[in-house]
Amino acid sequence: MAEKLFNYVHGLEEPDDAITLLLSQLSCSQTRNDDLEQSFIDAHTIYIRQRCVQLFTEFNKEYLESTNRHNQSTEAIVMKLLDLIFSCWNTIVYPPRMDVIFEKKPYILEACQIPFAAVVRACTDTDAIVQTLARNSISTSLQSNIRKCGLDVETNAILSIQIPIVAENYINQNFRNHYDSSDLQNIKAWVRNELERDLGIILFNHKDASLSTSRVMDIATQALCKLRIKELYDIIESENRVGLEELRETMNVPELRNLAVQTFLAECDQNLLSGAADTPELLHSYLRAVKGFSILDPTGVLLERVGKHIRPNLQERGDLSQEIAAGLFGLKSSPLEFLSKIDQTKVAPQKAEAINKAFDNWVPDPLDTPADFVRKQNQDIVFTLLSLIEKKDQLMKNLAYLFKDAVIPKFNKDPLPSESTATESMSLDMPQDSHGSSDDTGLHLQATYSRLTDRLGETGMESIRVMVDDYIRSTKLLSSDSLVVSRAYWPSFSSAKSYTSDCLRWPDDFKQKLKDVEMKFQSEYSETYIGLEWMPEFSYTSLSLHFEDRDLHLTVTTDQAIAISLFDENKSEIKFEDILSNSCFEDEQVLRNLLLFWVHMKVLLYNESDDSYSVLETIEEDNGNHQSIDVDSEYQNNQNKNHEKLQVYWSFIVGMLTNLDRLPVEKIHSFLSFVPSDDPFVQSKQELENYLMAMVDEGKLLYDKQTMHFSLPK
Amino acid sequence: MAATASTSPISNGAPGAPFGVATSASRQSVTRRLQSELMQLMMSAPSGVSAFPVSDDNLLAWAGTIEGPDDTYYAGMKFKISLEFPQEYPYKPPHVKFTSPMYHPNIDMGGNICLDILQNTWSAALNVQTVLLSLQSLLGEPNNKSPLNGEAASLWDFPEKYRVRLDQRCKRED
Repeated sequence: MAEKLFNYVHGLEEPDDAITLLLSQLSCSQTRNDDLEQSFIDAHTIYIRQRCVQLFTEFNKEYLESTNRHNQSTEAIVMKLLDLIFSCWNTIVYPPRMDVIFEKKPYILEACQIPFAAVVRACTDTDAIVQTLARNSISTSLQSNIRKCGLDVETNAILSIQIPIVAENYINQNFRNHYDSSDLQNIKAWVRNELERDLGIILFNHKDASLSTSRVMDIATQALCKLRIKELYDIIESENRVGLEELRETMNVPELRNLAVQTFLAECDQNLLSGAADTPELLHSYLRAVKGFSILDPTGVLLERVGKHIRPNLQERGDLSQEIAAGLFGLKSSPLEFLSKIDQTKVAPQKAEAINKAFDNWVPDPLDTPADFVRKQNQDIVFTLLSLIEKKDQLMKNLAYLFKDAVIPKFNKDPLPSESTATESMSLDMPQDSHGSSDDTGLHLQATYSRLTDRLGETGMESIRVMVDDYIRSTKLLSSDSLVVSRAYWPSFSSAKSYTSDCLRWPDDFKQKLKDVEMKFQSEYSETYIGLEWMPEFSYTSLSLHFEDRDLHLTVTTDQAIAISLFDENKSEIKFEDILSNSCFEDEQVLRNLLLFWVHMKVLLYNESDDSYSVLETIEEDNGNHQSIDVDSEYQNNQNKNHEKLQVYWSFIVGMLTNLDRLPVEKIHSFLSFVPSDDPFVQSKQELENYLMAMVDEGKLLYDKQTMHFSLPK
Repeated sequence: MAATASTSPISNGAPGAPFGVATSASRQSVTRRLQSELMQLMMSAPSGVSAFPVSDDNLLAWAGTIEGPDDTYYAGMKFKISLEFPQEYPYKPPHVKFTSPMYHPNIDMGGNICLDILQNTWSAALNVQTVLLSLQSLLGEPNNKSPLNGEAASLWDFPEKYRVRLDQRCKRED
């Protein structure tokens, strides 16, 4: 028996003989003969392998390796190959008489299939077979043959690779940038009508559940989902709800959710999170991302991840709270003005019905929910933005400035109407035409204040409340061009220079106005009245200057106007000390800056040799007497500001030189960025150096010319 | 409208944080704390002590100066110290050392200091200023029971001998 099998294996004996022998052996013995069966299977397996290798090698030679290949289409070759496979199967692997054994013992069949499939794999291009099978209608008998010869296992493996590729190509070609309409139904129809028809026969009759119809549908849906994820940044930027909802419907596994977040953030990094994007733009995009991801994932898990990435970028921005404040305040020029129009969503007390409904609709958190995740309820956009601001007092400060700017008109290039000629500090021009009536402004401010306190609470808003009250009190009591403020509560007023109405040399009619205001105020608040001081640098005066060769009509700050009025009718040079003693400007530097302004306006001439000023009555044409106001007044203002600011920094300069001994100006300059301030250090190095040199002249610093280091005197 | 711009109270510029991008929340909070301490120290300017960061890109390393208090051996002398703040500051104390030569019972030749608030009894309520002032008062009131410099401790009650040794080690400024 063993010898027969050996011969059979080595092709010395026809299988028929061997099988006959085997059958007789098997049928004779009533008891099972496992050993014999096993020997036969082993032998048969080797036999199949050898015969198949032989046949396929011949096939390869004939069709695949030779030049013949060029003469025939791949499909034709594959059809030939299939023929070969089936004849192989029918004559070698599974000759008719084997039924007797194999039907009884299916495991024998299985054992035989494995080597056969391995041979098929080794010898041919199975991809081509499968694709051919997929494209051609195949008869049912062929199908069952394919299955019998084990090719279906192979087919399935390949289809699981092929179908996604086919689906992806189809979807990418037909649905790219289509996110404004829902495509899911179209794609489902395509899967049912076309993909299934093409691939169907092999696939869908198969008992293997891993490649069922629904699986193919999943694959196609996933391909759509991946396409939309690639487009997610654009979808979110264009606030396309349909696209987002479709993506939510298809994005059903954690891997895809993860991919969505990563793809989106990568796009953000590339397009948005760079220095080039200004803060409002960034805020807008952030809000769109918040909206978009809230639709994509109502639980907020994904949003949290996106937020974690974008928020630090926003928080680094120095002008963040300023921009948000402008938006909340409703500044017309603010890109975020819409924030002021969003009503706060009030959290309504939940009724029993709503609670039940919520209970019924409860869904668990997604699988990728971090352990420390907390669901956030009822957060609107404003809340989201406010949560970005770490220092609430900074926001309040910015808001206070906005209220101030709303009340105190900014410098207008055109001269103001002459009758509203300047007033002063505690009193200010309100140009009627630009702001509507002052009552309206008061109401508007009040409404804005109460809207903001609804949102932010009253804590920290106290000074704004005082400002609004000041304004309303002033407009009720006084003429509309004066404003009495509680100085300590208004930003940038506490350090401003102020003067009593008797102190400065105001024009007479002007002084009378100031006195009127003071009287009115005194009589209204007789019990608490202490006195008013005026801040001329915050009000504006229109004036006409007549020279021998020209007239100038300007609107300048009132202190500038007072400074030039000192030269009225005076044609000779005046020494600075005389101007100072005559003017009641106590601070020498303040007066010098005011005069400097007029020198730059080519109204005054400064004579350095005797420190005196004179009026420039005639001016040569080519000097260009129409100097821009803007540039010069800015220059003047900057001079003032810089000087004050540098004094604040003096203590820091002393601190660093005490501990670090000697420093070059560059180092001092960069160290000054340590000074925490609303107004980050912007002084130029040159300005700082001038200041330090001035300190050297005053003996407060030492300067080593060789090393260019500054140090403190011992 | 430049005139308006210059008087506008709100700055337009937006330079980022002065120390670059903080890498973590803890880094941010230690930086913020040190920055506010620096501000406080510069503004209050306690007499005879001072400190400042060594470089503008790392707020965790400071240099300090302590003037010897009057009525002590150290009157008229100035001493440099270094302060290194851990990431966990203020929950862990700064590492403080004298960088200029020092002769003191509780300070060894390497400048290391034995002071309870810098070790076991540190508290987050302490700050740079309190550390500086504590060091200043340590100069006049050493703890001779647990000396790092035994010789200084034993000579403490013998002013003449102490002054000789002190002058050998540290030069007086005036």
